Amino acid sequence: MINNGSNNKLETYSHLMRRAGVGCSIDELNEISQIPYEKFVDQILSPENPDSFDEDNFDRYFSHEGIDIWSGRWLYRIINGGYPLREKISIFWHQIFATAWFKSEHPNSLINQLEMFREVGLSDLKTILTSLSKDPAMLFWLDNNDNIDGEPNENYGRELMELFSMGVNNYTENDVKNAALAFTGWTFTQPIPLYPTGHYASNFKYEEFRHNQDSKNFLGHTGNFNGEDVIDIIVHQPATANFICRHIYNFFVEDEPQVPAWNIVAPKNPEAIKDLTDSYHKSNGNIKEILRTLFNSEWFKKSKFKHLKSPAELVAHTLKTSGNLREIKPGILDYVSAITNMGQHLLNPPTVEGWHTGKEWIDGGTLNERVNFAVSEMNDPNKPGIKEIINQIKTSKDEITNENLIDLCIKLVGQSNITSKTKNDLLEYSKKIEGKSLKKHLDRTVIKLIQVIVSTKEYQFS
Amino acid sequence: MKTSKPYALLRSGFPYKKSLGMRRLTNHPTSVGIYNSKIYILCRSEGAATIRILTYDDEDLGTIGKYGSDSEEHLLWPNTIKFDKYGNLFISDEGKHKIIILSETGKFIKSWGIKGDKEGQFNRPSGICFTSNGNLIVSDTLNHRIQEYTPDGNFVRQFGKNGTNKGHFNMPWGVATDSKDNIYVSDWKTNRIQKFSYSNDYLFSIGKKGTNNGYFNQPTYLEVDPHDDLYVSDTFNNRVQQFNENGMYLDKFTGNSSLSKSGIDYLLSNAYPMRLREMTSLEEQKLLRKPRGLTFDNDLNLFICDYWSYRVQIYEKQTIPLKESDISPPIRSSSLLVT
Repeated sequence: MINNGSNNKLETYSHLMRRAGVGCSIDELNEISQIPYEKFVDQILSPENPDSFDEDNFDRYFSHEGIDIWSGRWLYRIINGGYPLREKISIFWHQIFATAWFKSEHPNSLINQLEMFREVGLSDLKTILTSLSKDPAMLFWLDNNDNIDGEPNENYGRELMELFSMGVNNYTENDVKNAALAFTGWTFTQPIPLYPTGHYASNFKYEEFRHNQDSKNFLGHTGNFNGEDVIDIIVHQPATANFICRHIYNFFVEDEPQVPAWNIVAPKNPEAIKDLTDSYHKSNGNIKEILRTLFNSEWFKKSKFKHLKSPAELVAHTLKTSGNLREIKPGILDYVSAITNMGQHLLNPPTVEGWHTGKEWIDGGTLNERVNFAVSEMNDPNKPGIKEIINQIKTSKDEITNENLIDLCIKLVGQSNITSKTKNDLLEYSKKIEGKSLKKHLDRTVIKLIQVIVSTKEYQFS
Repeated sequence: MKTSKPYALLRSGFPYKKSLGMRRLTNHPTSVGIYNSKIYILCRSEGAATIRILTYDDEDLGTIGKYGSDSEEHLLWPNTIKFDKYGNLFISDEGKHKIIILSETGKFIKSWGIKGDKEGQFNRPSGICFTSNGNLIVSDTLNHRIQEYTPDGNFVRQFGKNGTNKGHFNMPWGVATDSKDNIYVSDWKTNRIQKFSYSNDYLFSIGKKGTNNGYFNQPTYLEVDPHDDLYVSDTFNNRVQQFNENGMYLDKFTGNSSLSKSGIDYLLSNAYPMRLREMTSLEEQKLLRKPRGLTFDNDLNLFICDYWSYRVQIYEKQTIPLKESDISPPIRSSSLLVT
């Protein structure tokens, strides 16, 4: 039943579900909106049943190698699992600590990295950076397997600070050299190569005989540092708090400029960044606590539809609405291909900088892909989510007119940012669909209206 | 395979014999059948399915079967392949909810089945096997039941329903019949194997979730050899377990593979992976990884689809048949007596 209660309240819960996951149905929205907001935020951060998705059932049908199957698993998990935020945070860290398949072509390591992000991604930054620094996919991606005493490779030491924690202008070349020395000897076990019997796992390996044992100067500290010491110093830097919190704001609240501009362009909401960094320092960089601050803030509640959906978010949100991925069935790779065609090949970002986000997701080609995907996904009244929307409308107490049918469709698709101009266009369109036989052809009319709603500019935003 | 069942066996060994296939040639081998001394290996992953034909010497004879969903003969989510005695290849397809029959050369013969829960309908049909009169037993997974059909696709009977009690199923997968047409069913979700007489009488159950001998973690494919020993692909425990006809645990196969001929040929022409192999332990490479389909040839060779390692491992069952006079009569209790 459609709840005619406070639209503003429902929209705030709906907003939270979009940002901490990929949205929810109107029935779920009615249910969760009965829970006090802060208590619901607690539930999102620490759900009672986080592992409700049947992984065995997925493995029964999709147990084979390849990064795209993992992306399919991600879709199933975020749509059907009990802990959407855990899936969201794995992609958040993947975007920042971007590691790509094209260099190693070793899916096991990449998939293990994403599983590591799921496992520790909501813990504290020190744990996250330590896990990252011991991750075989990352060690190979940034050449730390070649970082040995006497022949240091500075790639990982540099990117750890520039792209993964502090941002440029917050450290010196000398800090880079010393960070690199601290990570000498951090490598991974040699896996059995791919042919003829497939991939095997690789694990972190510390080779003490290749580690530089000299005293090092790093960010004003002196000592015989190893990698863990360097990470400990990094996570206590104010620059790190600012950098990570801006990333969090960019991902969960509002699109910021691209990262390379951050040292010259101020954050869109400096007060919000301060709230987040205060939380960072108070919690020792605990991501879950930072997100608690974020989701409960007033500026978050006012940030509805200020984030342009990434391809993965757009596909997952659309499938959540259509209900077409509630059961395991053939075709999952078609959805992964759709994400890729929109410019985001998960586990295979273009560079170590990851993907450029916000409006840079959109160009003539990718917009076409986004609109075509969403429209084609909403094509069938028998898809469970669409069937539910139609049933909600049929059981509505309101008289069905062209105008309130549009309002109902907008509400049920959860796209309350539809502008009055778009709404007028929808009204004109609806009159052309079935004329006076609206009730007679309700299913068809609803389908067509939903298809137009998901093709609007507004639908591109979350 | 027809071999008369002796009174008893001297089980002299079950050594590893050889492996067939490699990545690219036999991608994710799921089920295996043998006809006219050719080995048919069903290879399935999302977005790909075919049946690779190899000789015993690992020579590639090409493929039959095409991936897709547009035509009757296409394979979408093929699960199991079984040859009947005439050389017709029966294929269960979980994605199309059908049984598809191809000739040994890949020519489409017929198919039947649509999605549903009525007689003659399927919801993700998986394991298949034959009864002694040539009828087909089908594990109808999401309908949690077993169905029987004539070879022409006419419905004969069904049994089972969703549940965890005796005779109930929760997403059954493998099926196999023994020399008396008793039927084994691997009940995937409940991690047990149930045995039924042909007339549906529940006989016994083996296993529960675990890693000890006789326990399972997602049992999938089943096979019964001419001596009525049962083999279970204990997939997520990465092993195949062997039981006698009374359900007593006998042995397990965890993998002891050497490189296949095709694998050796590949490595001999690729210097870089050859070097990488010198930099690591190869112990793990001999092990089974997520084994699936099983079958025997006429020489008592057990073929195991080593699903995650892109090959088929072959083991040779070595036995000496015993007459009643060769072995003492059954005794009631264990004994420490030495003779």
